Amino acid sequence: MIKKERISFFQLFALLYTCRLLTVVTFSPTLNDGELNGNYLPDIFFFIVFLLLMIIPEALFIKRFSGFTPVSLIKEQSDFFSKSAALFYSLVLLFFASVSVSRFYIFTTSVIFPEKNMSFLLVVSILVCAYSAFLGLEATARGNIVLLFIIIIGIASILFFVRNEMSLYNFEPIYSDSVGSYLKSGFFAALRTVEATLLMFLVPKCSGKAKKSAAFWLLFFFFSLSVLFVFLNGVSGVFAETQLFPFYSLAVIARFPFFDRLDAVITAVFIFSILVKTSLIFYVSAELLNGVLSKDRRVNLLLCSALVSVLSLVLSLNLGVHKAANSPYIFGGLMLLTTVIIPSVLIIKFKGKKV
Amino acid sequence: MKRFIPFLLFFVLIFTGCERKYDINDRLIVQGVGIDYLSENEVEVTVQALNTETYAGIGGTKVPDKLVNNYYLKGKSVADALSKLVSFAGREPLYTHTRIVLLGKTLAEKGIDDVIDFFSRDSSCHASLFVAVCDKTAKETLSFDPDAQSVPAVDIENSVKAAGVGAYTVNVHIFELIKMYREETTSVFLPVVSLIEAEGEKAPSVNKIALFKGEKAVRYIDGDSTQFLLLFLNCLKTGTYTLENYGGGDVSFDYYSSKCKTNVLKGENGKTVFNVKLKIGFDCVEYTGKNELNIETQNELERMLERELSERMKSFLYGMCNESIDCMRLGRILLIKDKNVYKNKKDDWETALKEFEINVTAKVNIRRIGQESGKSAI
Repeated sequence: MIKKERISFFQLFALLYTCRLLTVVTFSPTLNDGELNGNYLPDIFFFIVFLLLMIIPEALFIKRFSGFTPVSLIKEQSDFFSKSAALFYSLVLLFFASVSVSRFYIFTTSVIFPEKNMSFLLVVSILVCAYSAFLGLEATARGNIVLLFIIIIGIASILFFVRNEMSLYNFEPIYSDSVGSYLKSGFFAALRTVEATLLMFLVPKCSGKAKKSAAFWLLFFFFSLSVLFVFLNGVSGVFAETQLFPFYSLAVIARFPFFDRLDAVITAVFIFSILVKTSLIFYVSAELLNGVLSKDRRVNLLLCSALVSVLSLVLSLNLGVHKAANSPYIFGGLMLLTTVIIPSVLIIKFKGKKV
Repeated sequence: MKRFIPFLLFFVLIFTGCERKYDINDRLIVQGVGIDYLSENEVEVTVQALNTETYAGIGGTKVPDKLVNNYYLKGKSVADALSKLVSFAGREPLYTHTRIVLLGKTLAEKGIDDVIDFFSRDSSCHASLFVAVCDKTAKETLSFDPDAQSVPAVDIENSVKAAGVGAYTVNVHIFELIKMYREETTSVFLPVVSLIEAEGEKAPSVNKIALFKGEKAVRYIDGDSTQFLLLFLNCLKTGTYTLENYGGGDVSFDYYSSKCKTNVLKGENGKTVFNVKLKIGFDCVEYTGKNELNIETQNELERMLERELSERMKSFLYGMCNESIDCMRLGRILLIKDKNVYKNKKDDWETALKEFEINVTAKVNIRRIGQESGKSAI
């Protein structure tokens, strides 16, 4: 008997929140060209608007084809196309994971241990994520609740201890740039939300109150994003633009009575978040690859680990390569394809058909 | 086997950091860095590191005879000079414990642009490091006590830190220096470390600040003027203010609160007007005159303080504006309050500063007048 995994919607959105938080705290003005530059608060508003617009096709898909994922729906028509879609989605998700892992790798090798080779740590971390994915969605979701609690406490403590450095004159006035630049910035930020792609594959495994949980976590995300960037702007000002990882620099500036630097806290936040995000993507990818490459989940996870390890090291070769992979055109293009175009095509294709 | 895997992974993960073994003696623990300008393409970097060498004596190992070692390195740039440190010291430097960075007087006056670039880029320079200018050379200041039983860089750092608590000077971190430097209209200011001699011994002291125009230090101001800068920037935490010539003596007050609010208006003749409102709380701590200080004289003192503080603040602000030094961040204030005017004026900010009108009003509250002096005692 196959054990059917179920988690609550609250746990699902908590997982997605942790994954997206990683993208925020590893935000880099140098690497995220065009996104969230300068005046952050209007950017955040447009980001949420574009995100909601982007997930409309997905929401319609989930409502129309309850219990189905794009791959399982395509299987109703063609086994070959279903396997191709599964492989495609899996590769895209693993690419997204590789970009995140390579960002983390760049962080450790540029800021924490510039003189060390961290490849071994990277590979071991990926194996840990693979093991977490092997234990199943429930285990990852439960672990995430604990880690998320620690992450929130960690970030809140950094912000609390850096509050004395805030100054009104570090901010730029709202709407000092053109509306076009805020729209562009918000749109590019929405394109980096890979969690929207994961949603379609995880909703069939959830039970509970979807709308309530979604509304709560979306509002909480909007609130936490605003708070983070208000503090970043208010404390660092233009200094943030010179830093590869401004949130890390913010933690360095924070002062606690016993310690002078809280960068160990933000490093722990990065590590916990990357573990959760990579585990979740591995889980979904392994499910997709089930029957495509191998029926054995362990084999699929090992293949995913190998691919992400190699790809993330390649993407970390230099900042130029990473920036290209992270560009709105490649990254964002894949996002639009998987989150907007494919679900829209499927809705049109299966319109009026019974599944 | 299944249960064994998580433990195996956990231990492999946490032991990934053990691939290289370092004893504390294998690393050069840098405490202070000083940078001096020698010529157009040459800088001298003084690195002060803890002396962790021990010498074996007859009875066993001895404590090192001096706490620090100073290394003097020359190079085309800071990075070039520091790259030679390993060959001098024979150990790999560890910069994460650096307390302070000192910039020599000549370097500050020639230009600090290259130095700031190094601190922006190098990952070993953490953002919370203190930075200061020296009265003389950084080399001389950092190695002021060659036989010291305390670490000179730590003594200097403590002086700079303490300076931030009093009202006479500032302490500036690397991230604040970079922030001030990168803001289009703001002038950098840094504390100045001097060596004062008392009873044959030298000690670091911080009692003035250096003001920059662009990358070059152009002026030095003392504690009295710095107080007004701190008041204006809302950075004044504690300190003392003395009201002179009251009843044949001076009245000293301690700040218990201070707030400065600045608004920007358009004047009648189209000039930009900065309205500065000070709100200050004092506690009286000493009086050397003959009058009685009591609740009745409190109002009189408050009015006198208000007049004096307004005039001195106005004089300070106009003084800075006339010299085209914007350490007060008037540019940032204008950007927030009226960005259109700022955009028009920012390209010729030096001229714009001289055209502004500044009005200052002060509101003083003396919380405690202190006990009766007892001069008219029973």
